[in-house]
Amino acid sequence: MNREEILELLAEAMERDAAELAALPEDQPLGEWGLESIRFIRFVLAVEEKYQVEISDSDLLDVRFATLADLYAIFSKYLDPGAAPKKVLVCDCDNVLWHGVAGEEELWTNSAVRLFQNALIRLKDRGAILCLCSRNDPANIREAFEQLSMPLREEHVAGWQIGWNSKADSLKKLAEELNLPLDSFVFVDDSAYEIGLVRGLLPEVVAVQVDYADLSFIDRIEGYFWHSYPETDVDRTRLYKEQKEREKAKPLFDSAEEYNASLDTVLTCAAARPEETARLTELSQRTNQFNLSGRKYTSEEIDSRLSDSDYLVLSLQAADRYGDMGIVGAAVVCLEDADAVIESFFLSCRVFGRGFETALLKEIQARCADRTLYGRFVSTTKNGRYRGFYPENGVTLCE
Amino acid sequence: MNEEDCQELLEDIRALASGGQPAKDRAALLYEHGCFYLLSRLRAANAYTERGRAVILLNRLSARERFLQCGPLFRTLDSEALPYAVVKGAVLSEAIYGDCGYRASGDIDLLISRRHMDRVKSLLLGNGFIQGRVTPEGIVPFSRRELLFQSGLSHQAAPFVKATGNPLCPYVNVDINLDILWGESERKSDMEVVLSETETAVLWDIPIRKLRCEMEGIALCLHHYKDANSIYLLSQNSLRLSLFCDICFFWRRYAPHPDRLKTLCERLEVGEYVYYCLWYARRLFGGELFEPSLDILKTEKGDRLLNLYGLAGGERREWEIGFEQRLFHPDLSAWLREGFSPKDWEKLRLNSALM
Repeated sequence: MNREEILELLAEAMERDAAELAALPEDQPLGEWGLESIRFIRFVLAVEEKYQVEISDSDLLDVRFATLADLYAIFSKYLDPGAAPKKVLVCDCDNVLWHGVAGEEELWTNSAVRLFQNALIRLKDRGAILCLCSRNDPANIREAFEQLSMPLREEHVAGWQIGWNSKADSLKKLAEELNLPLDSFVFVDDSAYEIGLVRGLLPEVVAVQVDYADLSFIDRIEGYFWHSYPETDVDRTRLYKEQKEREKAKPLFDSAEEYNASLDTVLTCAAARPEETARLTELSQRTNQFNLSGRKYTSEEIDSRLSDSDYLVLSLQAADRYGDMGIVGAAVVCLEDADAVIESFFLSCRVFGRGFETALLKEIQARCADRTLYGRFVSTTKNGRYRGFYPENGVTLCE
Repeated sequence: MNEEDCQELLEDIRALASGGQPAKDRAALLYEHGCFYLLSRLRAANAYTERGRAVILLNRLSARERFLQCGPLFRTLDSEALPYAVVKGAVLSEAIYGDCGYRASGDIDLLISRRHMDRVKSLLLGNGFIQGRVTPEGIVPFSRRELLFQSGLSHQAAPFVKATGNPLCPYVNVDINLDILWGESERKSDMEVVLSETETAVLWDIPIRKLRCEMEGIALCLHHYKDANSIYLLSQNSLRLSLFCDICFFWRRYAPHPDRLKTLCERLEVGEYVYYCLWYARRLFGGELFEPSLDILKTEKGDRLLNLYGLAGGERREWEIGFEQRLFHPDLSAWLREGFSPKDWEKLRLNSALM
């Protein structure tokens, strides 16, 4: 995130010192420091002129740019379009999903709470993984979901960490369960103490404080999940719930092969079909760790490769006794006379540690047996641990 | 206007609304107040009724041109399953009076959710609309700076304009609305709730989406509450009999179900504003039809609002003259401006610059 650049332009528009602004807490209302509409527009113009971007209407309209956190959330995507979007939204429950403390007092909801819950459901529908993290008795939270009439239901939630652990520990547990890095997490809580604790212990997690007197926090949260993924029929919440069940059995086996066999795993590696474009695009957009070239495709780019005989696009589907995981991996191979270059290779983090990547690579090697195979690797901040994948599997590295 | 004159006027309006005729000639007042439906019911013809007929005819022809121009847009919105509703203007006139000509309107108002703004904008631009201003030389696109000022200051997208080639309605304006509450409101409506309450209507063979009865009644009241309470709009003489006439005939035609009305008002937290509008519609037009809605929406907060004006909490103040006095005041704008604070003038200047 280009915080420094944002701060510099903002300081200029506000006729303030950048260091002075940088010292402000991220949730300090900037109005108190002189940011009003005219200065804000001056700032937007400066951003647009300097970076040759156009801020979209949906980001400008009806959004209250009240704090530095708001500005970072909205503008960083324009200034750093390669930045990974957030994937996991972890919500506290009491005084966040409802008013009151479950098990202690009568709970109630109002239109503001429902507005927030509908936003959570929208984000979930767009691919965000919704989790709960509350310092309460699990039975109280379950009972609240059963008794309150509200849009958000248990089936919308992929992961629960309810208990008396610290919020930071709970977030770490969720990251382990989901196999996702903490910097893809957004944490939402009403307590300034909990927000401060998470910011202090897990600075990579974005922490947003809920304040029902000022609903701008909803826009801010939505701003972190800015990637508009193409429409796919992937129910990420269901997939992560199934994944959780699989993970429970994993420690009982010595190897990935044994583990896969015990789950009756079936892998299907095949040339991708045009109807899979949306999912392949989404996979490329969402995959950061096992994305060997760091490449993210648009649906048009995937389509053009599918219809081009100089390209081979393979998809990898997986299913086991816990459910159909759908397409979990893909590769784009560029065919050039006697050579073949693996332009991109993706694997969903949900299936790490099961050896699926080897199956996909073997399929590429079989299909390109009469060519010299190269694998393109472009180092990113996230894919370092897979740098050795091509050479370890007999593919010449092409950096 | 003294109390006796006021009573006579109210009796005439009620008589006209009930199918009778007024004791006195009320054509000028009805014309000034934009009450074209009641004006059209006057049997005695004069210059005002003639002008009223011309306005109604022009409204009909313009509305038809606007909807024909927007037909492809509505079809695309449907085919892409983008939730929207056409609100205010001709659609509301058709709903209330069964004729699109009785409410003056200069544009088509689309209600959408903010998350669909970018897609709808690209559809409008793809359909030949331009974000710009109409000048004698044609449409001049707004500069990026002007567009940002519109979005940043008014929280509304700059209007989209398209030339039609029809001299009766040379330009079509489309306004994008992202809320049924006013811009000054601290709260935002849950647009998922609002846009889940739509139905198909057909105007000039063009299928469109419009709000369902109770939600349309709520949106109507919120819009008219703003006209009756915004300091900026009041200073433009927005307080008019037509506001309450619309509400009266809407309730008369549809009789919104009180329980459904209450449920939706509670979900949107707007009950007191709807109550305000119904309370004054009853005061002007009388009748039993408002009672069930008023009974179910009555709250202390609603009663407190009845004699206040100003939209935001901080700017609210008490009226110093009675309702009929202000409604039929010969120049309410001048009267209000006399009491304006420097802050009011500042707001007025900003709004005028934006509009």
